[in-house]
Amino acid sequence: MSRTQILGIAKRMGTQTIRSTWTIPYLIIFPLFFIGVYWFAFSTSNIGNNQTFDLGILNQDTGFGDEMKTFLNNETIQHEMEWFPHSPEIIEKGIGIEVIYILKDLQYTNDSESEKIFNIHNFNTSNELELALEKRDLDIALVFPQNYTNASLSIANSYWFTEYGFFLHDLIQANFSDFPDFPTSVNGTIQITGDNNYLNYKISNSILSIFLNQYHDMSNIFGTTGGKLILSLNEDFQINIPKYSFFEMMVPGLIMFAIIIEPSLFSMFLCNEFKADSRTFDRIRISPLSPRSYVFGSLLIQIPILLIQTFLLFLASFLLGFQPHGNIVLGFLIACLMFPFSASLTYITAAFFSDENVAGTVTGFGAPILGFMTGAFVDTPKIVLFRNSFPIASGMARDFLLWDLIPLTHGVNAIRQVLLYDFTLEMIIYDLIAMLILSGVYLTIFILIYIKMRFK
Amino acid sequence: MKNIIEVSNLKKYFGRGDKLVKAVDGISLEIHEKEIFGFLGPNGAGKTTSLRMIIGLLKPDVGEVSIMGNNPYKNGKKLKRELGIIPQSLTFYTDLTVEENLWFLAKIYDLPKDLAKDRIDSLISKVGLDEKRKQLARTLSGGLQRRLNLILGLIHDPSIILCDEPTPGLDPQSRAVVWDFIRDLPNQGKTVILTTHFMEEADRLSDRVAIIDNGKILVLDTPQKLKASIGEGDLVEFTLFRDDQHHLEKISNLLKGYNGIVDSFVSSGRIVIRALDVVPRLSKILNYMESENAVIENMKIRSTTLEDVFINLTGRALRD
Ligand SMILES: Nc1ncnc2c1ncn2[C@@H]1O[C@H](COP(=O)(O)OP(=O)(O)OP(=O)(O)O)[C@@H](O)[C@H]1O
Ligand SMILES: [Mg+2]
Repeated sequence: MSRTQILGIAKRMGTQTIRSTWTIPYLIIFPLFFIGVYWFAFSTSNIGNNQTFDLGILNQDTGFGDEMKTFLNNETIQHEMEWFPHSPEIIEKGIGIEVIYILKDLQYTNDSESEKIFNIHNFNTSNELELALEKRDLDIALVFPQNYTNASLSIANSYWFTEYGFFLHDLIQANFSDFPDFPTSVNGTIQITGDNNYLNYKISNSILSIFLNQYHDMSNIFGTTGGKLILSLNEDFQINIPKYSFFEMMVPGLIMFAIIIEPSLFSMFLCNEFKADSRTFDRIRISPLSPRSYVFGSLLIQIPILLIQTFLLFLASFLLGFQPHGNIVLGFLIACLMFPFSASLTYITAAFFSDENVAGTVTGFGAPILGFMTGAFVDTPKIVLFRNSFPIASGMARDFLLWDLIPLTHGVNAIRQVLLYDFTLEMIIYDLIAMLILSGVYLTIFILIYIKMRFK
Repeated sequence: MKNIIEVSNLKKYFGRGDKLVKAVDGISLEIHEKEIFGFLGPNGAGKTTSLRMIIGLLKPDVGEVSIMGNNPYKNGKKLKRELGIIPQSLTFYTDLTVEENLWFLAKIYDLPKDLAKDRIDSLISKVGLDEKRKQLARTLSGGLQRRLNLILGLIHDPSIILCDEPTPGLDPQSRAVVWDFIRDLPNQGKTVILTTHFMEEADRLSDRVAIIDNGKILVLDTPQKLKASIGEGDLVEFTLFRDDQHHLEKISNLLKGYNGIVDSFVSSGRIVIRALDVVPRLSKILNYMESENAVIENMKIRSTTLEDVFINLTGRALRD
């Protein structure tokens, strides 16, 4: 493997890209066209503009432990420990109640009509909840586990220990000697459920996630500012949830999707070398060029092409009125990180097709199929691989579906949350990691297949 | 003479059942250092398939290839800088210029820049492409594209060159350039394997020729010996006004017994005779034919070609 060889490949393909009569128009027009079609179809219609989501709640929490209940049920204590959650309802049903109250009143920050974000429906059994989700009576559901309260206390306790060197209950016990110990090492994750292939779910999931993330952030540091204490949040809790048009909500997914279509351009270039009447690849195969150099060279030249296209996709969507409130730079970065998966499609196509037009068509059609599978356009069946196992944020999880094996699923989740709801890198890290790992796996496997098919 | 390539019992079949094609059906041969070795055979004879197997681009079903003692599949790496191909099809990037195509290959072979530049300049001028070096390959005329195809395989100065049908459809001028170029390669210490279905090309360029048909080598020798093998003397072809097969056969048989005629046969509607010192005898032969009511429309005297050798072996012409 040598630099000269790798750059030689990259330069040649670059030159061909620039010279080809249709690549440049394709590069420029395609992004505009793609976003444009959706803009045309959805910007003026009212589809999807009803943005109050039906949220199902299943609260299985048994609340505080018996010892704590007895302690808190004392009126004097309640008076003296005003800062500690003490309402009868919370003592019985746990601190999740507070979350539910906040959710009920949540509004879009940029909405003049003060539309509520969630319509809350309470459920008593998980069967009823599942049924309602299946019928799409609900867009999304939130399940508080049995030991949610105890888990929260446990987390708070260890947080204090790592942060300040002593347990929270020790601090309280200094003033109230019969204050019970907090439970330790209790796990209890809030579970967000719903059909991950249902757009309403995806949108409401983003909103719910950002809410819970922020809520957790605040509840983690409870007590440290101005005497406010433990898990008890009041009206000061402010979160920014902007309202978007349907077109705007589609844009992040469209951008990712367009990036997946791009390999159709490049797989054509690779297939070009196998044309029956001019197998230029023969010259490469009998040369000392290693398969790795060839692959590196061809990967290298795809990077600037992809950057330009991604930039144009963003530009096109801004021009058509997309006004995201989130971090555009991070969004752009995520889009670029879709590159390994996108490139992996190039190689798998070029491994099996020798006719450039066929290859282009296959990728051109293959990409929408991937899009369908990730639920970008239609709803796909919910096939659960691992129940409640994919982390959404610390202390929250959702089901890992079959479609989660496609990096695009995670890419779309991440970019949507970043662009629309201003998620930070930390908040999308699970999707990002899943996307990168899966992309890496696909890229490696597909390149190996490509080399096996073409260099043997 | 040193053998540089040894091929034994090479076979490649394509398809199966009714569609089975025995593209190469057990060829064995040795190629000497610094010779031009020709494969002569009609379309579909298996020339390209043989070449691809020898160079390691195609895996044989059966058989062994050894190039300078190496098997091109197992330790092909050692051979990469020794082998050059001039494919039958025009194999270059049409959207790159002449120069860019050459530079690309120079980089693939990781040649030092100065060396690459010198080689590119010299190859370009050898085939007369100097004025076209900055022109896109696709805009070159067919003949010039052939010339480019020719030099692309030589950028790394290989010692063995496999040249597959270098001149199809070329004008005489381009053909002469290509022939001169190939003819000169052994002088530069190179060994050349050439395939062609063009007997004149095989005859003029090759030191030895293997005539191949249906995947098998029919004969293998120097062009002179091959031609001599089917008989001494020159050939005369007669076209008669009455050209029904029966009449032609009859005349041909009569001629067989005639004084000085070695052989006589009918081929493609003509009577072909082989005779020693044919020119002084010609008037007598003509008289004899006239006396047998053979009215001659046309007549051609020529020397034996490899085509005759092929016809002699297969009963068919090289190009049907
Ligand atoms: N990849 C393939 N698949 C199926 N059949 C093939 C393949 N390659 C060659 N053949 C068949 O094998 C036979 C030999 O082909 P080959 O190209 O070696 O002939 P050739 O002597 O080079 O002919 P030409 O003078 O036309 O170039 C032909 O009948 C051809 O159709
Ligand atoms: Mg051929």
